[in-house]
This record gives sequence, structure tokens and C-alpha cells, in this order.
Amino acid sequence: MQQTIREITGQLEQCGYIANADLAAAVVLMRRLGRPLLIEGEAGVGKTAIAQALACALDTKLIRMQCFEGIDVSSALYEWNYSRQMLHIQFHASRGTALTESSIYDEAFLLERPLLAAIRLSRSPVLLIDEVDRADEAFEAFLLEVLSEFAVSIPELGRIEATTIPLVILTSNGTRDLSDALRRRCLFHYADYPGFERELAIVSARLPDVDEQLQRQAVRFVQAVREWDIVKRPGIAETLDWIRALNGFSVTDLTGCESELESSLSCLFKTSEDRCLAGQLIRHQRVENILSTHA
Amino acid sequence: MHEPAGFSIGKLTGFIDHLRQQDFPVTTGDVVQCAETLAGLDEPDLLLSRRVMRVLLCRSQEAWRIFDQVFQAYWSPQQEIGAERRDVVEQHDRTARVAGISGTTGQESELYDSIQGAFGGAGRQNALVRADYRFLNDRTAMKRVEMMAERLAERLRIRTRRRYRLSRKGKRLVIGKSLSESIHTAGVPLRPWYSSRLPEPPKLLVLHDVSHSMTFNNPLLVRFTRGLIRRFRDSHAFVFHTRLFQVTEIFRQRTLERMKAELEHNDGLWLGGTCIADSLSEFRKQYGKRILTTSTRVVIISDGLDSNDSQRLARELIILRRQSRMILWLNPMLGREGFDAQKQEVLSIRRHVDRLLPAHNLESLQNGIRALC
Repeated sequence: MQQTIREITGQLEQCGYIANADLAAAVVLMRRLGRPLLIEGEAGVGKTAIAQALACALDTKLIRMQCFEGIDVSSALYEWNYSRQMLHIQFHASRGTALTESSIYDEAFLLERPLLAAIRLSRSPVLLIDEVDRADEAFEAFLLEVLSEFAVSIPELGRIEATTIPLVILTSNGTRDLSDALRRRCLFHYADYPGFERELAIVSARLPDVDEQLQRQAVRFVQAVREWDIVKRPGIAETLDWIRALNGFSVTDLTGCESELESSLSCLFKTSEDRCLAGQLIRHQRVENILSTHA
Repeated sequence: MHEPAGFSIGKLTGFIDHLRQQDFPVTTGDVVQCAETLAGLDEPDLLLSRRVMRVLLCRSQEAWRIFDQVFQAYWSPQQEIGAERRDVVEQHDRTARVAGISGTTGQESELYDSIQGAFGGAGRQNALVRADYRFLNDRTAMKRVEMMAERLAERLRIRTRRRYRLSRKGKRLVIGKSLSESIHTAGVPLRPWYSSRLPEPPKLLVLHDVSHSMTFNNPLLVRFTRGLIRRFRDSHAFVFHTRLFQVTEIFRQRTLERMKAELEHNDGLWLGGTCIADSLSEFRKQYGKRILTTSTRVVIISDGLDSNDSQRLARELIILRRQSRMILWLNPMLGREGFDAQKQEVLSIRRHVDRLLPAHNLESLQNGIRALC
């Protein structure tokens, strides 16, 4: 298994995702046991990216289902193409030909939504059910049924069994506590903010053209910022955006570039309170001190 | 079931028992799958086994965070001796701090203030004696507060119920949206859009601090909370000091006498130290799933004097804010002279709630309700 973990870590790395051993072990177990993997964590720590990277690493299709409040079966599973059915009926009526019910409820009029699409593919895809905590509890119960049986019943067509079992990754930001039943069916991984070394590796992999000194300083700065008492701590996505912005300003050394730093802070802080507090702290503590205390 | 590599089944089940004692909801199916997976490992490796067990046996962020510690304590206890010693020393200090404190009389209040390390006099002591609820008896003065709270709650209820949203089913046709959505099919078939009320009516949750430091403010604020709870149908009330108690039904009693009798019937409900972060965490774990939704408006009534770590409080507030629609913190100290609103603790709270408002008089409470609408 150690070997498999190393292999999957390497494959993910080739797709630009630097996974730690815990996450790699979770992915290996997900494949081995055929159970969905629930990943919880703050926004911007790479929960969605793992699904994309895994699909890339396994050279398979990624099917994404974004959950939202009010999502229902027709948005997740299937829907009949009513307008096409109406046109079909009108066409036959104008020609005076007979029409049977089964010809209207034919696969040609079936609009596949992510869940149905995922179980009908010949090659096992990665199914990403993103932000499952935003969906209602009723939808969560429905999801449980699909994920445990990997089969759906369409009244007009009958039961459709999965041809392959998809690799299911569910993500949650914690806007609502998920039910125990769903948690019990899933493997669990908590994605935390990465440490200095791992974040630096991610930045180097994603932004290889950026000056190495800037990469190190920026990552160290972000690590320090995450310890401040702010509402929304910056994730990896924010770090990357910020470094891109600094690079755009042609900054290679954070010390002595207060104005550029000040101008680019909006990439890092997403609320006015945090932005204001960060400005005060930077003026008060100076960049050099912030970097040196986290060296 | 195969014997896991490097583990005996007996030791593994012992570990599972250990986890269950720490509130890990481990099922028999999990144990079987865990044993089978461990048996499938090429070579016994404690680090890898820990990773595998963590993925299989954890269900939540809290469990994930403490798993390593629990694992370490069970499988390599010798490395934990130092930590255990620290715990013993800490526990000893804590018991020394709270011994003999009941938290109700003037003498004890001095004792509160003398406790080291507690912010603004907030301590961890539990309520050990009965509180005096006679402050509820001042009928004429307090009736006004309650009626005002009821009026405000009614206004809040009407306002929040007025919200509509577009949907595919409903009774009120939205002509503009229906036409614009049907342009690409030239009106055949017409796909109508309707406006409908929000599927879930708004909820109100009041978390009321009844610790010793709130004694002066509570005559007004308890009646205020009672008014809100009685008028707002889908509302819940909790009081907290070092522990949390659900008091919705008590506050909904028809007469004050009944409410008072109910309060007196429950020992340890009132007064004591303050552990806000602990109380919020307890609320989230015990009642969060049932009460917190994206339509829940949370009102916290507290002076913010807390014996818990301010970072823990911040973390709990972030989670609470994420799981609810908004948090309104009513602080009776804010409007009082001499209170430093720029204190680090107050600023920290301000950052993690939607509104932080004073609650020292009727006018400020009115403003508080307006902020909820």
C-alpha cells in the first residue's frame, strides 16, 4: 500500500496537485474500498482541485455536480426534454401519424444530469459532488440512496444499473452539519491549510516562472497571516492570486515594497474588516518583522 | 476476519473501545472494514495504520483533529507521559481556582474578581446555589419591556415572512420572467415562472448569557428574550453560563409566575462563571443540526466576559456564522459609560459577528431588532 500511496502522490504531482500522505492514503482507500470520500475544510484549501487532479491522474472524465440550496432530482439525475417532446408531438400531429407513449418517453428525450451521466459511462469517472452542505436535507437523503446502490429508477424507462462505479468525492465547507448517515457511508478527510514546505511546493509547481525569493517570502507571509485573528483566512487559491499580482507588479522582494504590497492585499483578504486589520498590522509590525517571526 | 498485520484483534477492538469512549461513532461495520484493510497492508507500519484508521474511523473535523492524540495515547503511551503530567498539573490548578465558589453573593463576587487569568471577572465556576428570581416580579416596569419585545418580534416575523423567490411551481405568475425565458421557443411551449415564499420560514435563536456578570442587566434582558420567544413561532431560547440549558418552553409559559416556578425548579440554571465558547460548542454539537439552517437568525445576548480563550470563541463564532443567516450580538456593556469598546476581546467579537450592538436600554434593543430584519 505504501507503494500505491507513493504512486498516486506522484501521479497527482504530475497533474499539478501536491498531496500530503494523509490525502493520498484516503484516495487509495477510496479506490480500494469503492466508497465515496468526503473532504471537509475551509474554502480554498484544494478540495475541488483534488477531484480535478485525480481525474487527470487516472486519465478519466471528471463529472461535477455543484450543489445549491433547492437543488432537486431533476437538476442532479435526469429531466425529460419537454420542449423537444412537444415539437415531436406537433410534428406527428401535423402529419397525422399515430404516436405511442413509449416513443415520447424515449432515451432520445432524456437529458442526463451529473449523477445519471456518472453511472452510465463505460469507464469509471471521477464524480465530484461539490459543496454538498449547501443542498437540502431531503436531497442529501436522495444522494444516500444513489451512492449506496449506484442505480436509479426512472418510472418511464425502468431501473438503470451502473455500468461502472464512479470514484465519488464529496466536498463540504461546513455551512451545515451533514447527516450522520451520509458521514457513515463515506471515508473522511479533513483538508487543513498546508504548512510552509507544502505550500511552497504548490506555489513552485503552479507558478514556476515566479522568482524563488518572492515565492518563499510570500508563502511565509501568508503563513503568518493565517495566525491573525481575521474572519476569512486566505487559502491556497488566494496565495497563488496574490503572488501572481505581486509578480505583475515586478516585485521580487517583499521588504521595501510597501505600496505594491498594500495595493495587492485585496487578493489575499476578502472582507473589508480583514483588509483594514491587515493594513494596520502591516504598518504596525513591518513586513520584515512579520517574515522574520515566521522564518 | 483476518488478523491485521502487526495488530492483534484484541488490541484493535481495545482501541475501538477507547475511541468510542472519546465519542467516536464507530460501527461494527467500520471495525470489520478497518481490520480487513489493515490485514491487507503489505507490512506492519504504525504510521500507515494510523492514516488508514483515521480515514476509516473519523467522521468530523473535531474527530480528525484529536485522532492522532488518541491513537498515540493508545499505541505509544510512553510518549504521552510528559503530556499526562502537564494535564495533571493543569487540572490541579483548575480545581484550586474554583474550589468553594458559589457565585451569587457579594463576597463571592469579590472572589470572582480575584481569579487570575479570567477576562473581566469571568470564571469557570458552576452555579452551586439557587438564584433569586424576584427580579421578575416588578410587573409594571417589566411588562413594558416584554410588550415592546413582542411588538418588535411581530414586526420581525412579518418582515421576514414577506420574502419571495422565483420558482417553477407556485401560485403567483411572474409574467416578465416567464416571457423572457420562453423567447427562445417562441412561446411554445411556455415555461412559466412563479414567485413563492421561501420554503423554510425564518428561525430565531436566542443564546442568553445568565452568568454572574450579567446579573445587573438581566431583569431587562430576560423579559426582552421572553417577548421575542413568545411571539416568534419558530424560535428557540437557550441560557448559558458555564453550561448550556434549553429554556424555550420555560420562556413560553403563559404567566410569569409559572415561568418563575419552572426556573426555580431547575437547579444550576442561573448564575455561575462564563464559558461562552464552550457553551456555543455545546449548542452546536447538541442542537445545531436541528436548529441551525441558512434562515436562522442568531441573537447572542452577553457582555462578552469570557473565561474561554478568545481564539476559541472566534472559531466557534465563525462556524456559527457560516451555519446561520446572521449573528446579532447584543452587549449590555457597550452603551455604558466607562466601558472600553476598543478592547481586544470586543474587537475580536465584532469581526466575527454580523452586528455588535448595545443593549442597555429600550431604544438600543429596538435598534437591535431592526438590525435583524
